[in-house]
Amino acid sequence: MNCDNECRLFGAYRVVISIKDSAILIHSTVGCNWGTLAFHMTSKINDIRQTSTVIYEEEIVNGGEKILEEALENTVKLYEAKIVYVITGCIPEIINDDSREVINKFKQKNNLDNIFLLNEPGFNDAAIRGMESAFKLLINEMTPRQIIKNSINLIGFFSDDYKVDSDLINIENMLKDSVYINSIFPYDSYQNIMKVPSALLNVVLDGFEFVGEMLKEKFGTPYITVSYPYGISGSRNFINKILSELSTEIPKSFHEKEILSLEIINKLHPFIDALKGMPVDIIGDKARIYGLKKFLEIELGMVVEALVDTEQKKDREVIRDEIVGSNSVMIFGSSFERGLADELDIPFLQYTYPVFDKISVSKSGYAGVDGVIFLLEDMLNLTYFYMLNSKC
Amino acid sequence: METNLREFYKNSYLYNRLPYIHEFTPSGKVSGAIFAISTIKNSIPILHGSSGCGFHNKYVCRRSLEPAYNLKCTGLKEKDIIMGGSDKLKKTILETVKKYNPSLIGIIPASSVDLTNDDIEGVINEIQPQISCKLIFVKSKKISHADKRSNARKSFCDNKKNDDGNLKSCGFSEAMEAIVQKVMKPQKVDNNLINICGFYWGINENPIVNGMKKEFEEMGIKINAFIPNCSVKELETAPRAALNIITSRVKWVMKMKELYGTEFMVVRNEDYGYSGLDGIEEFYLDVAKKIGSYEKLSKYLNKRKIDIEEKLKKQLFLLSKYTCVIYCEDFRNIGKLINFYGYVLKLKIKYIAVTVKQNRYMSLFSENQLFEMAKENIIDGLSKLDYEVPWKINFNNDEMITLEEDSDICIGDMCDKSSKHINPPAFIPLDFDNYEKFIIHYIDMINRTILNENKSLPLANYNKENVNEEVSRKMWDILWLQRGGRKYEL
Repeated sequence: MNCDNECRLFGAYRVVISIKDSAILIHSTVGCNWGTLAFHMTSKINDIRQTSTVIYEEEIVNGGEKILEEALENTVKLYEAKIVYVITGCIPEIINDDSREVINKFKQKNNLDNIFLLNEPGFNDAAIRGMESAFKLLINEMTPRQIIKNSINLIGFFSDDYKVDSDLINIENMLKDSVYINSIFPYDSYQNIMKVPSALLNVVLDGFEFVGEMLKEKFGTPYITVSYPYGISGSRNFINKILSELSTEIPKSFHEKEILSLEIINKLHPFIDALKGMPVDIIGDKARIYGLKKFLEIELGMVVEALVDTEQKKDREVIRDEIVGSNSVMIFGSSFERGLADELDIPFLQYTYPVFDKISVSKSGYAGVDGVIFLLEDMLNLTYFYMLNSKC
Repeated sequence: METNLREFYKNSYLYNRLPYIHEFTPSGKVSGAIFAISTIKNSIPILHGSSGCGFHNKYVCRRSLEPAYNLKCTGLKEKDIIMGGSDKLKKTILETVKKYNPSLIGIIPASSVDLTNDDIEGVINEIQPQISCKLIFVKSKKISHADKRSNARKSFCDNKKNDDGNLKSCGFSEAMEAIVQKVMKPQKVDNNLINICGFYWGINENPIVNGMKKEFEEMGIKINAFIPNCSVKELETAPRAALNIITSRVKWVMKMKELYGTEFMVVRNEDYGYSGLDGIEEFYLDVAKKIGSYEKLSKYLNKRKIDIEEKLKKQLFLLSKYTCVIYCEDFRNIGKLINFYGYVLKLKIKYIAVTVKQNRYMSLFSENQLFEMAKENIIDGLSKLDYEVPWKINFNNDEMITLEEDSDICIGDMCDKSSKHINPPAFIPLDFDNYEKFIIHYIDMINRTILNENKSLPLANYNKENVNEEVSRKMWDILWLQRGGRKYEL
């Protein structure tokens, strides 16, 4: 038994910190602030918009309501933020703080309406439940709007996803000649998120069907589920699925981009050929694992032996056994999988949250027809020259 | 013998990294405990708490960005918080023992378990007879972290030059105290053995420690254990040593003294003392005094110092013709900068400027109090020099530009750096041979800076203000350090 997956608090946090002009107040002990910030700021350097109420013995005895009020006052006064989210962790839930009452009184007293509460004790459930609460809270605030022609929302991208900015540039470049991207939910400004109901179609990444359902139920917006657009075929399928839903043709510009990428890939032909039949393992969240699997298997001919959805398998020991028991010679995962790759002495590519052992601020995303070049380049550098770079 | 300082540079630039995030928040009371247990060979920390705690606490602050991959977590759910999580703890311990056969398991409760008061000792008492692996309970002394309101001010005022002392509360001391009490065993003391306790010296082989080790070996003193980066067996026999050398987090060595009589010595290294050749000699003399070898070693150490002084004399004389200006954004550093550049390297200091800001620990004090402390630090620092140096607290940029133009070199920690600026050294060895190499090398760096004719500004000067980042720093001051209102009266 080794349960060390993201908890409910992490899930809610990842949604609301993705809102570009929010500030987050974590009502908990300092560790929750440390952990969430540690995995956020390594992917999103300098994007620090959070604090904690620093719960401590005093609150255990007297309750944390007083310090919550003080923290709220300062958060509202000092941060440059359109909206404030208070997320409560395990301790205030155990000591039974009435955080809602504190927030309501504070809002009333100061005539504010931009402070929201998310009760998300870690012991209560997994990250996905926290995400559900946060998405629900945001959708509750949305009101119906006039639909914009040919518009879509992209749903399931978070600010601390590895290479998210460059991936989104690549995705937008593929789509911009055909559709209008209304909002990237929740990685957008609060104002833009409130415009989500204007879209004609919601495009949700694997695993975020529940957000599509919520929006469909409230606004009647249809949604489609797509896999993360890794690779040439993956990108084409991604575009195809969206555009056919909007009855729009794939633009010439996409084909041109595709040809450019294929020309570069052609230069790597002998190296890519050498990847055929290579057994690999993929560990990660639903949003990315299926897209990556298709790319590795269909486009490169690799064999994905273990495909681990970390939302389904939470016991790290079980995951470890599965990886150790496989024949794989490369692991795709979060930074946490580096230890296992080192142990097995095989290459490792970090591609999914949390990534805290690599900085990426350049336009070197893995998504789309532009991103496939970077993905292949990184994979080849890791595998082809492994003996030169490994410590043994 | 190594002919260069590569290992020191590797340690400073490649190994010994602290996450940037530590500037914004402490990591909480389990982080140091996980560091301690995960660093002991063939030992496994088990975090008794919910899954999120296990998830993020693998990212341990002091492990130079390498996660504690071996951390296990009991993954408590709501039901366990209400009904107790002992069964899950038992199951996790037994499965961990079966699968990994560790020599030691350290059980570390998360804050939620501190509140629900699970009977961890009861679980250990029940399981321990069935297994050979040593189980220890790292009992929390705090729910979250130390009471800095009362301790910080007191500790700061007791020792104004650094913010160490009673302020640390990452659980390292708690874990080490549990090891002292439950793992170590009484031993026959060998006066030629010492333990080196490496909290700041990290988990990797550290060249400062290796240099000390070599120096000690030449003096006939051996390292018994490098704690906690050692085996459980070495921990058991740690009390064989006559002396513990430690940098910080001293409570557990105090416990060791209480239980086994082991003396300890806090290394006031380059940050706080033992500066220059005199400091190195003093350090080894202090060790010699503690283990009863002063008579035997004092002449030898003095000769070592004089030999190297002679070798460096000419180089330092050449350096004394240069002038420097020292500026400091953190006044606590000014003393060591004056000492190093003015007294040790013999540069002629033309001006000293420091800034006083009410941030971080400084927010515990009024501006007047900070001004007085800064003044005291400057005067203390200057007391070793045989000439007067003008100084100023809180200066403006134009003044600094004039001063920089008027001197050969600029030293300090300000954000905007000119081409004449040199960084304070990334390391200072604590053994004679490497110290000699270091001084020669650093003099070379000073000469390169002085002769640098390239006036273009470094990229580091492009630094746009980030309001929310600054607020996130400040919130810690507001919500914690300034809790309780009134400032400490000196």
